[in-house]
Amino acid sequence: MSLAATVEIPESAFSFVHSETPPQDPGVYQTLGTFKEGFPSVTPSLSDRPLRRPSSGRIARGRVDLAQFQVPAPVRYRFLATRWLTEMGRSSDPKVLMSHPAFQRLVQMGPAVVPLILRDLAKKPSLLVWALPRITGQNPVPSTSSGNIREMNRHWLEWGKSFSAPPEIAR
Amino acid sequence: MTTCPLDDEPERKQAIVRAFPKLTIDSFRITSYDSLSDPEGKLYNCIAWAVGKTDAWWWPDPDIGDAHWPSGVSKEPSLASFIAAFATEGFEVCSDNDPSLDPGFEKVAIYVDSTTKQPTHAARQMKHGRWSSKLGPEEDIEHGYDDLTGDRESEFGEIAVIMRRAITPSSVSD
Repeated sequence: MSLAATVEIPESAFSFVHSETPPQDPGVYQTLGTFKEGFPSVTPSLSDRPLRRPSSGRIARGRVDLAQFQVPAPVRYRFLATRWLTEMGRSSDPKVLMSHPAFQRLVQMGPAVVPLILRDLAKKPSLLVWALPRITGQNPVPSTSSGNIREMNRHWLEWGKSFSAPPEIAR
Repeated sequence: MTTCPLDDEPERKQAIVRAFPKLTIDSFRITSYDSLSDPEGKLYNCIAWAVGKTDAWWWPDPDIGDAHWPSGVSKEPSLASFIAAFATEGFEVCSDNDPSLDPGFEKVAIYVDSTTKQPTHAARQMKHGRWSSKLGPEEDIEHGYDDLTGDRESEFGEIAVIMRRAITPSSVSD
C-alpha cells in the first residue's frame, strides 16, 4: 500500500539529507517523494534536490526516506505512533484499528520500542497499549481489566518496571 | 445546551462529513471531546457509549483481551452476540424495529456491514429523538437516525436491529 503524507522532521535528522540551500521561498516546502508501506520513500532525484526549510524556526517539512537514512528508533516511533493515533479512523473494532500500516510497522520495530510506548503511557493512557502484548508476547492485564484502557495502562506500566530494553534503544 | 468547542472547528466537522456523506455541516453536532485528549484517559468506543459506559472499550475479542465483553456472551463478531451483549445491559429487541421515540424507554441501533452482516457500530437514541454515536476512538456526535449508514469504507453499513430498555435513574443523561 502506498501512503502519502507530510512529515515534520526535527533539525537533527537533516544530517541525513543530502544537502541544503538557503530557501528562496521561505514558505514553500518541497515535495521529495511518497510514502511506501508506512514509510516515505525517496524519489531517484532526491539527491539533486536540497531540502528547503523556513527562514525561521528549527523544523522543516519534507518527505524523506526514514528507512534509507536509518532514522533513530525514537524518531521512527514518534512518526508511526502519531500517524496511527491521528489516522486510525472511526471503527470500534480493535482489529480494524490495528490493521493500519503505521501500527503494524510500530509492532515490527520490536522490543526496542517498548520503553518508548511505556514512556507515553506514563504521560496518559493510550490505545498504544494494544501494541505491547503483540511486541512482547506477554500480557500482565487480568481479564477483569480487559478493555479498561486506563487499567490496562496501569498494569503495563507496572510490568515495565522490570522490563530490560535491548541495548539499541530509546533515548 | 452545552456547546462542545470541537463543534466550532470547521475542519474537524468537514472530516466527519467526508467520512459520512449523508451528514452536512449543519445536520450534526459534535458533543464531546476526542477521548484521546481526555485528561482522565477514558477510552471507550461506540458499543460502550451505546450501553452508557465510558470506562472501557467494548468489542468481542477472542484473543488477547484488548477489549471488554460481557462474561458468558459469545465472542464471535456476530449480530447474535452483540444482541446478547446488549441484553446483559437490559436491552431487548424491538420486534417492529421502530426507531421512533418510545416514552419510558431508551433505544439503541446496531449497525452491520451490508455484505458480511457483521456488526460495525451502535448508536444510542437521545431523549429528544435524535441519535448519539461515538465514532471509534474519536468524537461523540449527535445525528439523525440514518446519517451514518452506507457502504463506503468509512460508513457503518445498515441498521440491523433496534433494541430498547426501560429508562432508569441510572440511564445515560443527554
